[in-house]
Amino acid sequence: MGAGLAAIGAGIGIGLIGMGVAGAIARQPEAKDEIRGQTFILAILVEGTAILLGLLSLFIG
Amino acid sequence: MLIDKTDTSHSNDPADVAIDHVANNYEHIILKLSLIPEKWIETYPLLGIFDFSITKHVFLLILVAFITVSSMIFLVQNYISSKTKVPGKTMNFIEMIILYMRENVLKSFIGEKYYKDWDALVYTIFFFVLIGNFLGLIPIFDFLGLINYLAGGIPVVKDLIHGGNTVTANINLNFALATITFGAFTIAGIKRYGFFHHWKNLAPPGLAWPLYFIVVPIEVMAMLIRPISLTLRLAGNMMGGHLALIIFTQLFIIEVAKNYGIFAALGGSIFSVSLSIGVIFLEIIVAFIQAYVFALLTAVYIGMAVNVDH
Repeated sequence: MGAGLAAIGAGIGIGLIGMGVAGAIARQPEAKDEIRGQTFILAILVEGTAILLGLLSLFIG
Repeated sequence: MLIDKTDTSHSNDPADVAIDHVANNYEHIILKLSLIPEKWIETYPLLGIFDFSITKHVFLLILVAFITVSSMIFLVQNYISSKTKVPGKTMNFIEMIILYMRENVLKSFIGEKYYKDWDALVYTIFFFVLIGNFLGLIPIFDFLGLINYLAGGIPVVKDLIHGGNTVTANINLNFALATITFGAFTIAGIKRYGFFHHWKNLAPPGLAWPLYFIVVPIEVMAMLIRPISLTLRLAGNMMGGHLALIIFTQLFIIEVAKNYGIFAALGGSIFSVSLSIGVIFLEIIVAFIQAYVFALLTAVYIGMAVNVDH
């Protein structure tokens, strides 16, 4: 259950990032590379939290 | 993993099989190499740091390090000594990766001026983690198990076969790598700003003084948690993929065979094999991304220590 909750949180977070990125690239195609770099960092941070929680639920459960 | 009939130390419990597959195995040590008598370690477990026995993961670690170093030296030597100076296929691929890393990671996060000090570290971390991740995807140990099974038990191979695993799924190894990153960004900051100024950079200047009681502990905690998050991200990703793979292939078949007999398991294996092929493709992507992420975050942290002023 913990893993499921972590997955839901990460899914929403990464989805929001993806939405923002798609909008940003559509608005400014010339800034594609910079946006991509920032996206990676944000997605990593969101994902890191999810993985931490998933591991916790694995070890406790 | 083929079942070794002479070995009775393994249970058929699905959870045990999965953990045995992923975790480091202390029961089957390839080479015993302890600086102090084993009785001391049994009484004082902390003395275990002097135990340099080669387990499955240590063996993999040495293998990965050897492959990383020797392949790079071989490729670059080959390129330098060739008369035409045309890079081969593999060399081209590696050049492409390094160029991408230099333009998009090092130059944009550390900056034009300072990236030359740290590029070697970032490339090394990238290739080490990449080769570690990919070596875990190749079932070498399971293949050794097949050889062992056919030959009827070879002494050294017998200790090697207990589960193939990614070395980067080991938390200890990842924490060692993350400690190198931690040391690197600390040294980078000290080199740029001097010892005392580097620690002053933790908190932004110009706040009202009571705020520092809140800001400084938060910043110190954020700094200390960086290696831990690096460790858990890589280990969690690698371990999660392998656990999913094991659950889809072995556990599924074991459970079905237990409850519904061997023919149902044969039918179910079609389903589980096709699922696990999908997981393997996902794992190939994840192996690449995680190596990139580890190197990227190293560069980002170094960049944050070096370019405080903006």
